[in-house]
Amino acid sequence: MTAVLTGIVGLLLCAALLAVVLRGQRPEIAMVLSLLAGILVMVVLLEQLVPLLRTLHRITERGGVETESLLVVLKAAGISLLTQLTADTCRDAGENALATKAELAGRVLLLTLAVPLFERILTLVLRLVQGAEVGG
Amino acid sequence: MEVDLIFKIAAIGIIVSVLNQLLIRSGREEQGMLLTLAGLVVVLSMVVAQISDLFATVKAVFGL
Repeated sequence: MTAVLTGIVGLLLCAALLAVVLRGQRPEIAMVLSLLAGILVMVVLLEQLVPLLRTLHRITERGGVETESLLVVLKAAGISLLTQLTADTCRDAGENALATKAELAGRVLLLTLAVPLFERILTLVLRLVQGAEVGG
Repeated sequence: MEVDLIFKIAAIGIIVSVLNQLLIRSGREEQGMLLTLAGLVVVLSMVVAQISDLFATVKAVFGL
């Protein structure tokens, strides 16, 4: 665990230093460099995340909750991560408009992901209300 | 972890900027421009594999 953290810290500090050195002369290569550093760190962290997610799946199955809901949440997390990476890279490159568009795309995808769940809640509420009317 | 990729890209950036200055001093601005473009293409081709790696990992982990 500590080795992973040390590696990430070293990588990020080196990348930040090199990016600062390059930014004055070649801003485009500095941008690619910071993007690459972010991607490398993200890949390492995701590999660390796999056992945790497996445990989460197991707990969900044991608790009797459908794994479908957990899957939606995980997908939302993935979309958010990719959106954040893109938006941050665009913002670092000075393209605020493009960063906003990336965030907008992430929101749209998240909404389309969440609509089926929302529909289920709505049908549940409707059924409850109708049951209450019939019962009352 | 492929830390050496970061150092490689930084080295390419420094070399490209030095060569660019050299070319501009000797009055070949258009070749300097081409050199900048070539450096960018090389760096991007190194990063593309990593980006696809990230996408594959995200897909595998989050089930997208």
